[in-house]
Amino acid sequence: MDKRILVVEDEEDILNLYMDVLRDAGFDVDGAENGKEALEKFEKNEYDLVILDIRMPVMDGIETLARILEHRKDVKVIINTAYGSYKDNFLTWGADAYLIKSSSMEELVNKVKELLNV
Amino acid sequence: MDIEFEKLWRISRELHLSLAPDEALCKILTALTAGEGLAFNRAFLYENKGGVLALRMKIGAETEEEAYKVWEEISKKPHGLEDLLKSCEEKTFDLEPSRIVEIPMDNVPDGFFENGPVKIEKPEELPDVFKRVIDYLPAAIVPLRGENHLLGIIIVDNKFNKDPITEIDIRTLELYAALASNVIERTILFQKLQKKQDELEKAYRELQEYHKRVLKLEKFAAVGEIASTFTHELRTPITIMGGYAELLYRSKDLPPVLLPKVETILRTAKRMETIIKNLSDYIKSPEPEIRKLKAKEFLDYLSSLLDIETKRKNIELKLYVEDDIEFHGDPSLLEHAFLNILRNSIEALKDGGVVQVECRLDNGNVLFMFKDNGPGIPPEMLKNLYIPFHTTKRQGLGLGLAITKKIILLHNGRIEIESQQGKGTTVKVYLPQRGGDKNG
Repeated sequence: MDKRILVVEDEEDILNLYMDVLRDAGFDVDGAENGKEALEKFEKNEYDLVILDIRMPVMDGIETLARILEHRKDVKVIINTAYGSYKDNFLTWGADAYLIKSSSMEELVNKVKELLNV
Repeated sequence: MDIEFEKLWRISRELHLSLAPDEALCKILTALTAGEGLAFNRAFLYENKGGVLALRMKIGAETEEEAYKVWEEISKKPHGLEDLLKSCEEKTFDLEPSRIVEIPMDNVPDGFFENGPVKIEKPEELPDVFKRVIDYLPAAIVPLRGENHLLGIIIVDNKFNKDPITEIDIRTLELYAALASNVIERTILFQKLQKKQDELEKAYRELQEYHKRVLKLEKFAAVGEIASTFTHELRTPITIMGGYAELLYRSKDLPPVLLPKVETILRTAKRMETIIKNLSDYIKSPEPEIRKLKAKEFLDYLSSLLDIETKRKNIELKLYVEDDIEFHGDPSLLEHAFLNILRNSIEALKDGGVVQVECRLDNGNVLFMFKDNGPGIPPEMLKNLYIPFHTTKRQGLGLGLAITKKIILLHNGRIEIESQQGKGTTVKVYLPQRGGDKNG
């Protein structure tokens, strides 16, 4: 499978973890440390799915999401955050799923597979 | 000393000892009818109740026969005037409703009460309005005047021994009326004072309660703030730790000898996550989604959730539920609360035992009683049961009962814990039958 995923996450260790885990699951993975970097990568590459943190410096997840959707309406987006409190809003932002950060990598991988139909 | 004056002085001294209205009125009438007092045969006291004079109390026999009997008895065992008056302190006074007679003040001739006691000897002198209440003449009608209004009137007569009412009697009554009015006004003032004092005491108690609640809330708020930062800051490192452990655990390259060690890291991370989740739940204060629940169904369901734990520990979970009890509550919150209670009991029972759950109606509440025959809770622990972060367990954050209590409070219910060391613990949860929410 050659589905491409972009992980946007300002916490370097988490970024690396997710990239490792998703690569281990067989995906082609890129990372960005903030929204601005994510948009730059988005202009150069084609992604099937984005995993997006909400709280990030430079450009936060919600703004990044809006800009991404201007480019590519069909990209799948998973909001991934430490906060439970935005849970009611993610659909209105145009995201496809909402995950609260946890150590269960299985949950993350399963959600990615579900959205990408693999 | 003049005899009349000495009498009045002795009566006055006794009357001024009374602050309770009924007792004071009883003394006023007793002194009027006592042989050593003013020695009238009968005395009636009418109270001014906003434009109506209502019979409040009377002393004196109903019939001539009764009157002579009473006088004979009194003469056999002579009482001093003071003893007679003091007997009012133990009496209770209730006029039967049929005997409550009222005189409308509108129908009393103008100025009738202005000039002190009035002696009436002939029927034609008696204003119509009094004809219903005065059945014997001569009688004296004595107004009791307060500072700026009429407190009431006293009517006296000598129906049984037929003594006349003399001019001296009238002058004595005038003096006595001033004394009696003074005593009555004092009791009214005293009652007002007492009412104010009761109100003040009540307000003070409420203030104290409120103060306690505020202190408690402040404590909770402080705990909440700390806990909220704490949970958020910890979530990320735990995610990283647990995430990598999981990645390693599933890796084909991991040497088998390291597998149990990685597994331990993974399990520990999960445990930390559970702690964080419990803490978040506690801070969140959820809005309960109230539904109608059947007690039997609900408790059967909880019992099924605990099947594995109880079997493993050889514990018998007995349910005693009255049929058809329904109550209102949020099923998922109450499940959390009740499981906390039940798991505490199960944990307490080291070598098997019985956990008993009883459910019945109790004064408009649904009472859930959770009883175990475990070792009980040490007394020094009992008072700290609901305090967050207070625990004796090796594992756990000390939030279980704090969360449980919060859930019960969200349902407008209450929780009580009784425990006897060596005998066991009983937890009682009362939930209002009608439900804790506005929608019923």
